[in-house]
Amino acid sequence: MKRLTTGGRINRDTPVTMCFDGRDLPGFEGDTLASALLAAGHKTVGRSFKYHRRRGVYSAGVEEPNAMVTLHEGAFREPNTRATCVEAQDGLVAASQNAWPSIHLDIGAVNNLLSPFFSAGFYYKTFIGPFSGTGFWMWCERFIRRASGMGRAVHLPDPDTYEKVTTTCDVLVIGGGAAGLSAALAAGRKGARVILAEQDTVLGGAILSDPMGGESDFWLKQIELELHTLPNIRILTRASVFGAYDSDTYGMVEHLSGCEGQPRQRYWQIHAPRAVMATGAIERPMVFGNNDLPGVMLAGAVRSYLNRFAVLAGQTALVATNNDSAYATAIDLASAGAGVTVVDTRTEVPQALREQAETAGIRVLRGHAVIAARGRKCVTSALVAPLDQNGEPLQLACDLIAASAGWSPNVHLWSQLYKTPEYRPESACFIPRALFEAHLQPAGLVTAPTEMAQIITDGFARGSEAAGPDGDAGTVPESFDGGPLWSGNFSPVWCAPGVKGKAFVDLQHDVKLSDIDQAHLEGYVSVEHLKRYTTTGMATDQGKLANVNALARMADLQEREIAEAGTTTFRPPFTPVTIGALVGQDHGAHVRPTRRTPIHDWHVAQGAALTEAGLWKRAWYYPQGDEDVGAAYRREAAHVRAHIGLVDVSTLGKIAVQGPDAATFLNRVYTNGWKSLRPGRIRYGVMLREDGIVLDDGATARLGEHEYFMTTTTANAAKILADFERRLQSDWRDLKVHVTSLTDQFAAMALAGPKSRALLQTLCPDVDLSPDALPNNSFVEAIIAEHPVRLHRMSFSGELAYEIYTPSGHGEPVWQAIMTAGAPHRIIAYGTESMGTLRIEKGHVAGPELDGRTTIEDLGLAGLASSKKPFVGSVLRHRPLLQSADRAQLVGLLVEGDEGARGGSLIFAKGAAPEGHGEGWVTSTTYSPALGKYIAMAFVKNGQARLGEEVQIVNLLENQTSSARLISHHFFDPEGERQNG
Amino acid sequence: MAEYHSALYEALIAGSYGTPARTADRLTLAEERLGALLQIAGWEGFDDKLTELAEQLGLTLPPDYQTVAIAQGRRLYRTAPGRVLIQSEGPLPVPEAPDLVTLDLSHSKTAIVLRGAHAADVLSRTAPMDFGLSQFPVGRFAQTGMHEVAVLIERTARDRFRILAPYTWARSVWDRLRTAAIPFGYDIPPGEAGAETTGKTAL
Repeated sequence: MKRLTTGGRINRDTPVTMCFDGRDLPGFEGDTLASALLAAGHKTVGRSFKYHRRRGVYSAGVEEPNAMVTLHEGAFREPNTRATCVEAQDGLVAASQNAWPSIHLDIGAVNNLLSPFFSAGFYYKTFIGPFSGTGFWMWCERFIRRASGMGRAVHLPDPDTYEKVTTTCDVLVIGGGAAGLSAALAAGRKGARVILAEQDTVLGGAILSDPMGGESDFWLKQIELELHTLPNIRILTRASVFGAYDSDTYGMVEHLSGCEGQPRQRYWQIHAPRAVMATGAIERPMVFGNNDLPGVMLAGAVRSYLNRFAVLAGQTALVATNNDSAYATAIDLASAGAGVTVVDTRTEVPQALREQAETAGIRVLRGHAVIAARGRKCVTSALVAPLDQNGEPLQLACDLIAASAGWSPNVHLWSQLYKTPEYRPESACFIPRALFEAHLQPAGLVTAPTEMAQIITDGFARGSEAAGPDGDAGTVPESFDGGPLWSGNFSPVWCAPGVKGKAFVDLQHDVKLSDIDQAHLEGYVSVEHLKRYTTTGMATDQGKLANVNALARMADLQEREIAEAGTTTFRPPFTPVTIGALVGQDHGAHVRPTRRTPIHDWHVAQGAALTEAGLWKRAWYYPQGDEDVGAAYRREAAHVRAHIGLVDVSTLGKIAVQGPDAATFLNRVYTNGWKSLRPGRIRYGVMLREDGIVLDDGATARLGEHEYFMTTTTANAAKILADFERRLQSDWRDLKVHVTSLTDQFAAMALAGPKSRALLQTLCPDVDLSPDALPNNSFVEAIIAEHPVRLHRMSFSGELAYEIYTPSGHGEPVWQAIMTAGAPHRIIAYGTESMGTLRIEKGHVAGPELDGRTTIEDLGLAGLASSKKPFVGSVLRHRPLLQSADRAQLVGLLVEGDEGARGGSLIFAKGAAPEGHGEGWVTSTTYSPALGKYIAMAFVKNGQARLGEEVQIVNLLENQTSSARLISHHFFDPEGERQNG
Repeated sequence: MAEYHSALYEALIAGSYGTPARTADRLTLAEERLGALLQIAGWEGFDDKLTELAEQLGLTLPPDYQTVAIAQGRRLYRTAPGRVLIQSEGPLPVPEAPDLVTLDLSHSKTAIVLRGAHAADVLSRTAPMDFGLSQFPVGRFAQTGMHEVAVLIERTARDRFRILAPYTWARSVWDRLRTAAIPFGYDIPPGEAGAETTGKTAL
């Protein structure tokens, strides 16, 4: 292996120095890590997955099965990267993987000697019988995972940044080779908005493997020039389209590493009504003994390294082929000074090709195949035998075996959309079926053409069709001599009889020919079963090199055609995609949106501890000194009962219900009646689901003749509004009603405590707040510190209380004004924890009680269910199951001891064995400062008839049991004297 | 005059952010005071009634749900069948018409302005839409999701967009836009909506 002094498409004026396994690795701009490794003479670059065999660079593209390396260090470390796809960059640090202590002396190589034990179905066979059981498997798994596998992932947060982008175009062209360029040109000339996506760093595709300065180069430059003049064409290189999805959507990852200020990768979601798939083909390996030795490579890759990177991969080359395409490699190698022998499985080779080879000094052995590679650390010779087995095998000295068993079109994206491709016997490959209505059309090598002119014409036509009937695509670009293609003259021999040694079908997963044979002997018939049993095609390369050879072997063994054997399912991604790219910017603080109340900034400034309520951030409590939540909520709740407190309740769902039929609408959605509610008044209501279960509750104020202001629970706000919209747009189109969310329009705060009226009166001196003028469940418009407010007299705490609504932008100033004016009354801000305590003391139901299982009777609210009108759920609430006498009913628990009860704990009768589901469960629990005891709300079978009974509260999760007495859930001020005063 | 507390109060800190080396084509992110925002809704014959009403306000009812009608400092968006939003820089008289209902939503939205040559690029990183000029021209609006939040995006000029985000979600949308704008570099200017004016200003 050596770097040639001239030639190639590398920039020799810009040398780079990388590091591989701790040693400097020189290269040039334009190199890949793989080409630099080859140029520097690195024959072994990794160890194989299972047997830890030496492996060298095998290909020059995304199909690479061997040269898997780990890039970078520390948190930036990235394992399992294909060296063939890594751009050479100054300072790049790479390391080999899956070897210890080094790739040259790997202890794991002992696996190679134990290979008879690691055959197909190893795990299925080993972990059965006396060794079965999860425990034993998990014990073994640790060692198995260490012994096999690939690189090690880093467990540090990824410091790189990623982006997600959505874009739309008229035509997406996937692949920047001759066909893709022609397609983009045709669509672009017609004025379509085109995205041309190429996974390589530059456009050209297979043209880049041609010698510099030839016809193909000229063609490429001409097309590129024109493409760049068309403003409607967006060219993206380093961009791999990895998935094709429904609704004409494609997933693509653009690699940007090294671009200043840019993310590492960008995930594109592309919406394209038409797409052209010019994804080319991947060369198929020959299967022979030791075909994984360093020095065995794909013929096309050898040519690519020679012409693109100026790397001569071997001085004495043996080109093994069954088709014409490898002759281009042989001839170019000979031109570069290598000694070349072609071993062709065919007995008939086109005369022109043969003459070209002979002119170049190449020896051609027809009707022969390689049956084994020889060498300890790398290829030193090859064993070649006549296919008719009429003669002894020859041992030919060589340091490079360039193999080509044909090519496999990259049908993956097409197959993701349209399922099974069709098998073309004359080219021995799968190609997309002809689907004229398909939005994704194949073009170029992916259709297995026989000449370059066909590729260009085909690509141009698909591009023009994709752009639609309007516009003028002009003339098709003239073709050039693209060299011999595989599909013109092909012999379907990819494995000679009598192979010697381990012959690999799947190089990345170490699946041997004998594994396929064994699976066949054990009765595996389906290709899908074969794949899973042998794991062929299940490595990160997704069988790009292995699948067709495995299928062919299976078909041979079953004495069927490959078309009959079928193929496995192609699924995204075509190439591995970093999870970070899919996540994009939506991580950390952006993992989901956050909702802040209009008073949020004040809470934060006051040092409130925040809690999450759905997507809301809410003030949980306001610690004083080193108070924890337990101490804080007791203090806050006690203070509100004694003095006054203000809590932010902006998260309540708020819905405007407007229209001449608004009252009728409310009558239908609530269980109680609404037509009698007068303007200026507020009424509590309960909603049921269709099945009779309680859906939500809240208070609604009548603002005007046809206008109501509804509140819902925080959790159900969006669900309720959506349900209303659905009903009005489908079920109740007869109603003239509009519902609109006002949750963002209004801030809301609850002022509670015996001093609340006095404080409000100082803030609103012009408003009569007396009980007669503003009784409970009524509201009045007012002004606080120049801000418009609406004061709802209603109580969630059981105290004299007011809910104050004001437009969101006024929320913080109103809050601040109340706090300032309230200082003489010793006002405090209190959080959701103490708010919960106050409502439990009062016995109001909330989310834990409205859990989707309870009826209005269970909650003790049956009096709110009107018998004079129908409402949602009014029929099914009478189902026998929901009217059963032994249903669990809401009760209060007076808990003994100083631990309290955990929500979710089960309730058992005193003395009963705590088995099964018990007789009920705890919903809400708190320490009650007002009662000086722990209390809880609970549902208990027939609970209302059992008040006074002693029960057990059993917390099975924490193995705790306590005693409690069933009492009314209206723990505090059951007569409502405080709130109604 | 009553104070207005912006949803972006703590976030609007004037300065330059993002890729520091980028000096050209930097973006601007700011808040724009919305003024009055009124929803008018109705039922049968809504379009006829609204056409008459819009004319009184100097506006023409747009033919679709993606074109903004603009006149005399007022904008009209058809947001759904039987519903429009009218936004006005100045006071907006609440029209009284039979069989129509009106709702003041002036505080329900926060208007975020994004402008610069790469404004569309930033939006394409936050919302699943095509913001190309040919598909989303000046005067077009769309109701879509941004960072899973329902927003109304309007292209007010070639390189300028206005995003109406719900008040309580606005900070989250703002933060997400800032993250998307980092690679392009962006400025939060004082004056227009920067630190000096966004705290508690007269409404």
